[in-house]
Amino acid sequence: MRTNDIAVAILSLVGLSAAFIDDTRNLKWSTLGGKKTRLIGHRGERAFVPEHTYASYWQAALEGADFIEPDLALTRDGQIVVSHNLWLGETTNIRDIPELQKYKRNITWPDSSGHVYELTNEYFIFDMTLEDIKKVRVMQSDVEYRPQIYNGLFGLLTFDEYLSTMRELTVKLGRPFGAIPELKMPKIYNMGRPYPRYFEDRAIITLSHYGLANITGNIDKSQHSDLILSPVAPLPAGSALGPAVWQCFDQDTSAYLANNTDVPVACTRRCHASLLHTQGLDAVAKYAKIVAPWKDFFVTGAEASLKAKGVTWNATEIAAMGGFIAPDQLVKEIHSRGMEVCPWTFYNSKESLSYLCQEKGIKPASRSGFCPKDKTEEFFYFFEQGADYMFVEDIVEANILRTFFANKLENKQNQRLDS
Amino acid sequence: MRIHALASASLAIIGTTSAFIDDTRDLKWNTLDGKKTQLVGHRGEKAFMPEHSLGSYWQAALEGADFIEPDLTLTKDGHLVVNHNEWIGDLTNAKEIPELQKYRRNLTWTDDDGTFHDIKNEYFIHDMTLEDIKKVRTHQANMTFRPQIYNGYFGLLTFEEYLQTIRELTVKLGRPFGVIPELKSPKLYNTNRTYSRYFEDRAIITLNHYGWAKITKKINTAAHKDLKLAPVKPLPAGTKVGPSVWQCFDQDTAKYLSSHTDVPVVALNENTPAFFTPKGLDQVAKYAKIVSPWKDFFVTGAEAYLKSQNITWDPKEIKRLGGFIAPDQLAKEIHKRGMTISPYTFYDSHQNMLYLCQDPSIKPASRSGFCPKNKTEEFFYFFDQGMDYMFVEDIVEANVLRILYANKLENQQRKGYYAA
Repeated sequence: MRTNDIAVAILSLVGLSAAFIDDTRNLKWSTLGGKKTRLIGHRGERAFVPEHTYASYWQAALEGADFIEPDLALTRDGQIVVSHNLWLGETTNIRDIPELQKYKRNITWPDSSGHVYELTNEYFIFDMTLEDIKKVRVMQSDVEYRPQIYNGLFGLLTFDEYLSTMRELTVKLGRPFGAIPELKMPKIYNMGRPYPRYFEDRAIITLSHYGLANITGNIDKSQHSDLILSPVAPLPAGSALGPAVWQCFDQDTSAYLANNTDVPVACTRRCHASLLHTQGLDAVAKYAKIVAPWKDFFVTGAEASLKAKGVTWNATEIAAMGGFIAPDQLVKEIHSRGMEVCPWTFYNSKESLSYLCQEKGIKPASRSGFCPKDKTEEFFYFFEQGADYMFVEDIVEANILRTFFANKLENKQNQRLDS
Repeated sequence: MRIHALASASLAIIGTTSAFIDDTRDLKWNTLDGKKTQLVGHRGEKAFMPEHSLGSYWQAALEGADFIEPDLTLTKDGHLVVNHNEWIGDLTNAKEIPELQKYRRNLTWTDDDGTFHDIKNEYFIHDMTLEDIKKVRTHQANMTFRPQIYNGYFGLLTFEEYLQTIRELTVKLGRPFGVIPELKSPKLYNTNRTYSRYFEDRAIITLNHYGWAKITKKINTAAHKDLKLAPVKPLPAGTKVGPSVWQCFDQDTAKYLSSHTDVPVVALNENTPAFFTPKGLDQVAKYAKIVSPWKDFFVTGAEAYLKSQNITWDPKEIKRLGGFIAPDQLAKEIHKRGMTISPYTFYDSHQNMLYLCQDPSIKPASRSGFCPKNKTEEFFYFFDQGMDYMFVEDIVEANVLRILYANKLENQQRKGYYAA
């Protein structure tokens, strides 16, 4: 292959084509807004690159994610870092760093659902300073199809650095990417802080600093002058920032974020019955714009999913509230309350789909008895149901499936035009 | 987001889905065999990763390339190294390595097709040993939309390491990837060797060792006893391995590879006027299975492109050969002779498409006057023309365009299907 370097230089001003090839057909999807389902890069593109690293975010962006997801954690010295777990032993090389061994310990704690965590011989983010955390390097999970070639190359980012990266990607790739930070374990991260909304307020101030949130409540910024925030360069003319969404499993924090910013909140749930009956949805609709349940609530259904997590409920109460919503009716019930739907997580096709109905003896509770046999069936079901967002890993596959489904929609919708 | 570690473990054997989502619709494409156009990852996925690095090959595979392309060069001590240029100073940190500075020099040479190279202050692969080469680290070209985050991380690979990587990807990702090595500048690499087919034979022996080539005519294996190739572990039962293809700009080498192995050969060309005539193609068909011109031969056309490169021709000779084939007829003429087509290169949409017809004073020579306004038009044109392969960068975009085009085909081929 000859290089055409001179030609590139001369013609570089002529006929530049548009950014990422987008499917711009005017199709009507079953989503709340009628537009196509948006893909959220789960922790970036964790199927290919160590999660929550600078590279993972680049990867998600290059593959065409609509949103790129960070998980927020809080260090001992009050800086927000991006990490899914509260502990670092699993996904980093921290065990090999002599000066961090003093942090190794055991802890137990209950989360807001009543689930008890017990962790031994781990290194907790809230025990360490930002300087400590910046010493570690991230490793990919030991999953065969994932390249292990970036292990130890990347460190952890602050929330500030993640937001900086979103701006950089928006400018360099010429399209907007949505920011969808999830605050992890706020009750834990707020322990030992000057006041009980310390974590939430730091996240709010940071998001606002980047122009992605307006603060609508009273936040005491004087408590946060030590929060590290980088200078934010103005965007080039014609650049548009992507949207912002908050996520949290803790509904108390979710309500707080909804009441103190203009950023929509996704109510995330896994081990709680509250999303699965109409009264519960009514309550959530008071503060959340998006409902983000574990995907099996839409397939095998509420009872099986909760039972599998050891969650119990009062049968009489539930019956009095109209019973659990059938899995294939759940999207409709959420949409009818003006909320969007954002199930998680859709994996690379080499991993198990992880639906309970795949196990013999557990039947899907929906009237259709639907249980996906493969990823194509899975995605088409969720697209047909009208999932507004989907948390995905392997954004390449997700994008391809979304394009296939768009083709299917076009075939159906054009047919009406033809007749 | 909770981790479902336990759930994953227990359900790991239940309902795991097949590999990469493929479009299995039974559609008829305009390619020679009627199947969809194959995407060749140009130097891996060079739009996102430093080219020809381990990361580049993983990237291309994960994005769904059908073939992954290495360029072959030869070190002083006879090792086949994967690199596009004959020199390494531009895309590696060679300048910063003290013990390599002794290699820095100027060099001129002329390829078999008459192309003259004049390279100054560079570090040439054929001057260095493999040990020297293994000291450098590669970096990405300086383009803002390409991540610069892997710079200095990857080194250069040998041809053997490339083949091992393709095997590894085939097993780990559960699908076959085609190998398509291009031999660069054979006349240069065969200079000062024990005989004049040294480079070709070493490449043949290596490809054969990995099960991707049968040797159909005697080669000088005695001259290559020093070539120590790693033992090849058998692949798991049922593993489907991708096809192999040779490429070369040097037609003499292309003919040699064609007559000495059972591997089909790509005739690359962008500067031989006769190549783009009917009688010229007849000659190519004698040794090549695939024709690979610079893409603009199909759009603005031969005359405009050759002229832009200051390549001259004898009009009488070209007339005798049947005249230049019009750009929108070139694909048909190649297919007519039983050959497939693999134009290069289709870039990330942030880059210029590089068609001469984009310059308003240069008119496309095809009857249709086609000149693509954007990447979608570009790809749909080449798919319509029946390209059997396309060398692409940003395989993500290429794949999406291919699927959008497949839907167009489906609409055309099944009109009335849903109405019935």
